[in-house]
Amino acid sequence: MPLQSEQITALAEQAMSGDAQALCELLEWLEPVHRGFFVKRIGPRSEVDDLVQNSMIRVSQSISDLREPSRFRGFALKAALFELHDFYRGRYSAKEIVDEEAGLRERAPASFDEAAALDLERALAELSPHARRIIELREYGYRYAEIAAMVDSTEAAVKMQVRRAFEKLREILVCLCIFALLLLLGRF
Amino acid sequence: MPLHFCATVTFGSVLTALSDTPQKVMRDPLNILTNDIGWMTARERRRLYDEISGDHVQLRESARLLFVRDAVRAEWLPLVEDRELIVLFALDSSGQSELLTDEERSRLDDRRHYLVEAMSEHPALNDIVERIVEDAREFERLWPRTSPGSAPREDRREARRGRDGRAMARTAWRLTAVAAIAVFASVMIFVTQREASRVTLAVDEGQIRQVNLIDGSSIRLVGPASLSYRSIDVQERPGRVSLEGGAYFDVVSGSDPFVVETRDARVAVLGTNFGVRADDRETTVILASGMLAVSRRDRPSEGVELGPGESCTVRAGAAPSRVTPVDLVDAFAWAELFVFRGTSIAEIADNLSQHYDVVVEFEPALADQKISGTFERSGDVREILGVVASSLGAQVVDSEGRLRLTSISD
Repeated sequence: MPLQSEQITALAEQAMSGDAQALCELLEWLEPVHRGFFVKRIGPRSEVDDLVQNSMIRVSQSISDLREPSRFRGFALKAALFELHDFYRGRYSAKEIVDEEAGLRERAPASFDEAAALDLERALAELSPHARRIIELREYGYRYAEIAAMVDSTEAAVKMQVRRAFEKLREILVCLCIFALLLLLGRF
Repeated sequence: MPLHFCATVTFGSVLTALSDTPQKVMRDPLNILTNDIGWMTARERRRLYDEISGDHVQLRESARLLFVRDAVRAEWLPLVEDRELIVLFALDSSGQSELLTDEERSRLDDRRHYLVEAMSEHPALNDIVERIVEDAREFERLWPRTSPGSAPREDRREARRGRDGRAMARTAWRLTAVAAIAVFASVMIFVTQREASRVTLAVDEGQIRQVNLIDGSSIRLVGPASLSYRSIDVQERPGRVSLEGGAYFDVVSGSDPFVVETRDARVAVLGTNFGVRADDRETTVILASGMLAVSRRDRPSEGVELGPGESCTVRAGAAPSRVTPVDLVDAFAWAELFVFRGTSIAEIADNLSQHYDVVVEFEPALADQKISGTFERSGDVREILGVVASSLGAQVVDSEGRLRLTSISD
C-alpha cells in the first residue's frame, strides 16, 4: 500500500522540525521516485546514482526551508529539476573536459588566422536560426536524441544540420582567410 | 575526413547511444561526429583525443573548431547560467506558480524581463522551458506510482520482521548515508581505538558495518576488516584511509581525490563505487562505476586505470596485474551486495531467483531493460524488486509466491 499523502505530510512536518528518523523515512520513500524520474529523463546510466545522491542531499539540507509540509511534493519536484539541469550543465563544464580541451589546444600548431578570428562574429551570423538552435541546445548539455525530440526532428537530421552548419562556417572562414591573405599581399 | 572528424570536437561532438557501456570510438567520420564528448566516459574521451593528437591536421582543425565553438558559447552560456531560474520560470509560466516560494518568486520577478528578452532572440531557450515543463509532468506521473510498498510508519516497523522472526536488514542504499549526515557526529558505534590523531574502525569475521561520511560517501566494511584514517574536522571527508580486509566504497564525486591504501596497493578515486580486498598476500580492486587508478603503494605514479566492470590485483613488491573484466554481480558477492550496473532485468531476475530461492518472473517486454543499483543481499526480495519496478515505471505482482515484474497498464 503506498503512503497516503497525509502520511507524507506528517513525515515532512516531523523532518522539518529536526526528527532525523522521520527525515530518513521520508528520504527512503522519496528515493525511488527520484531514481525513476532520472532514469526516465537520462536513461539507466551510472550517473543516476549520483543524481539521486545529490538530490537526496539537497532535500535533506533544505528541508527546513519547506514552509508547509503539505507542499512536499512540489519541494521534491524542484529538487529533482534543479539537480537534473545542473547535471546537463556539467556535461561540458566539468573540469576534466575543460582541461582536456586546453591540452588539445596547447598541442595544436598556431596557425589560425587572426583576421579570420575577427570576422568570426560575421561567420557565426551566417548560421541558420535552426542550426543555431540545435547547437545551443547541444551546448546547454542535451544529447542529440533529446534535441531531436525537442525540435520535432530525427537524430540523423539534427546531426546532419550541425555537420552542414560547421561545413558552411568553415567555408566562410576559409574565404575570409583567403581575403585577408590577399589583403596582406596587396592584391585587393 | 579530418574536417568531419573535427566537426565533432568543435561542437562538443554529437551523440552517443544511451548506454553505460564504453563506446567504441570509430574512425569513420560520421560515427565520430555522432559521439557526444560530454556524455562519454573519461576513457572514451582520452581515446578520442589521443587519436586527434596523433594527427597534425586533425589537431589543427580541432583547435580551430574549439575556437568557433567557444564563440557560440560566449554569447549563449551566460544567458542560461542560472539553471534554477530557468526551472522556476518554466514552472511559473506553465501555471504552477504555487510551487514557488516567496523568495523564488521574488527572484524570478527580478529577472523575468531578462529571460523573456532572451527567449525572443534564442528559440532554444523556448525549447528548454518546454522541456522542463515536460520534465515536471513526467515527475507528476511518477509520483503516485513509485511508492514502493511503504505502509504507515508503525506498520513498516512491524513489516520489517521476517517470516522466521528475524529483523529484516535495511536495504543499504546511499540514502542511509544521506540521512546519517544529520547525525554523523554521534554515529561511531564500532570505534575500537582513537589516538590523538587517528581513528581506527574494526569489524570481526562475519560482521558487516557501514561507515557514513559527512559528504554522503559510505564505506561498507566486511569482516574481518579494519579501516583507519587521520582524525579530522567532522565537517570534512578524510582524504586518505588505510584498509586491511575487505570493503565496498561508495565515494561521492569531489574536487579532491579519495585515496585507499592497503599494505601493497594504493587506489585513488574521484567519485566512484568500488571494492577492495586486501590480505597478507595481495590486494584485489574491483570497480563498479566511475574511475580510479591502482598502483603499488610505494609507486603511485606507476598505476593502471580501471574502467567499470574491471579488476586488477597488486601483490607485494609487484606492479598491478593485467586488468581483467569481471561479472560485477558475482564479483561483489563477498560484500553481501548485489551490484547491478546496466544489468538486464532478465539477469537480475535470475540472480534474485537463485539467491532467494523464489520464482522471479518478468514481462517479456521488460527483459532487456537495464538497471543500475546496489542492494544488500540480506534485504527483502520484494523491496528490491519494488525499487527495480519503480525505476522502470512497472509493478511487482505477487501471485502464490511467484513474483512477477509487469508494466503498469494505463
